[in-house]
Amino acid sequence: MFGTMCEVRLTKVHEGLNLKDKAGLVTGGASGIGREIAILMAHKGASVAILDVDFARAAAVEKEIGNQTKQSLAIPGDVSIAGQVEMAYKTMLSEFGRLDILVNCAAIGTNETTLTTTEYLWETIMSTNLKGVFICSKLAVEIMLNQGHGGSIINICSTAANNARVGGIAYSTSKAGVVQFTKSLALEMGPYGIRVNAVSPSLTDFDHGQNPKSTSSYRKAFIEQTPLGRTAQAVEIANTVIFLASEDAKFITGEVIHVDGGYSAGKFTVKD
Amino acid sequence: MDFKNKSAVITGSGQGIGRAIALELSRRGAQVLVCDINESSLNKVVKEINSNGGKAIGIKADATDPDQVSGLITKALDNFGKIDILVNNVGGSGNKNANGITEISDELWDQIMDLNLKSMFLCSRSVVPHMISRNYGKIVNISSMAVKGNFRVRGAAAAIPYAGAKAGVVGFTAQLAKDLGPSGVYVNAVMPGHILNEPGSRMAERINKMSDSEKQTTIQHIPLGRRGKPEEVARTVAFLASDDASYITGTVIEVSGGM
Repeated sequence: MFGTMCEVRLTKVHEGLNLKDKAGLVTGGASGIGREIAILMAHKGASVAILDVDFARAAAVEKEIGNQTKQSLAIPGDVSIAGQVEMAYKTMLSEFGRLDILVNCAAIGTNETTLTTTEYLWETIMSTNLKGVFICSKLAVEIMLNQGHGGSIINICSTAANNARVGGIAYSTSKAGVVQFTKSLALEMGPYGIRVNAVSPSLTDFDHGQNPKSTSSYRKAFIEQTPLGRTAQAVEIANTVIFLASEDAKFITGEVIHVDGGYSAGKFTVKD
Repeated sequence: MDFKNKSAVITGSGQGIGRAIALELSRRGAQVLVCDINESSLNKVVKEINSNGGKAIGIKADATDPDQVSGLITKALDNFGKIDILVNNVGGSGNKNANGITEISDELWDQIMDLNLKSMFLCSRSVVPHMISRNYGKIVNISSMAVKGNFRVRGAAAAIPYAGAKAGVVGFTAQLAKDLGPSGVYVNAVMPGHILNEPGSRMAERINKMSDSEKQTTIQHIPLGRRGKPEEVARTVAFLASDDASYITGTVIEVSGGM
């Protein structure tokens, strides 16, 4: 059912990372990093709702988790449409009765420069990557405030937020917005015990294969600039998300954790 | 237990955050070397760990002295056979208050640089060849939110050299991480905010001496509305030292309640 890395995790889990009796919603949970987060979250004991525009794939993740634990729910919906997100929370609450964790993972990438980015593309990227985070978070904190026992929001950001790249104009800008959204919401919600953090991955592979959006020349250049000399596996991003969602991170809010193999530590120079 | 068969050296672990790190890593299965300049406090921590079924040894050493540091690492290797984790925790803003830059003597500046930066350099330099030879190692350095000018109470400590030294920790971390990434050695830092250590510790004493309004000033800028606990810092250190952080190097995690 689970991949090898997850099986190893199962034997290693210590109580601080236990998410038993918690309920989480993962946007973009049908594939890639989001899927791995949803699976790992269920693995740590939480009930998990998977919100995605691709319902068929979300249902496949539900089935994958459900076969094991009977605690997942696929919900169709577009994060940039408030009505759909509202419906998703209603469905989730009627099933699980609570919301403790929101992971904003739904996002779309581009490979366009300013001159080739149409206004429509710009708006599409901003809608999903930034407005979607706002809509999902706003509705989540309303629910969490009503529940009155805090909560944890984790936004999946990107090293693109602080590392410019030709072809990343709209994507980088949207992810830089996510950083500041994270910090601002953390300030607002601190007094209510709702923690808001972000995880910034760099190039990440998943589903036992290479990230389908990465070209071989980009991979090569990226790996050369990364001290650990390899790309990330989605489960490595998921591990940090789980840490932030857990009691172990109870005093962490407004923070962005880079899970990037050292990429952000500075441009890497290979010794001659 | 995620640190079963791992061994760790934690400097300055006789009290406060260092003690909490030693206890946390031990609780999760690691054998730990408790190192402090204060023998009676380090003995207490060693006893606490061993009487709870953990395995700890204690060594009195001054982490700013090259000879004592190499002795410390040798003893750790003699006892454990290997070092998987080094936590460069020793540090502090000294015992003297200083209201501004003109009150900082040359000696105080040097003392704080040595305690926070040189100790980290010496311990890392001693342990890195061993870690490279095993292609495995986790170094976690303790910085501070003081880096961002977050000391709210003027004159509470020698905040200026302390902030400078703790910023140095960040640069050291990034550069060493880049250097050692290809060798399988990870280097990261944790940046604690206001942490209330156990009663009797230096930090607890300092907070005790504050007026009510000073106490209020230190927490009103913390969004979570309270000081952190040393074990909350320790759990982030443990996360970075664990294999859950297998793609994290050269980074800094703030444990500050959002300040």
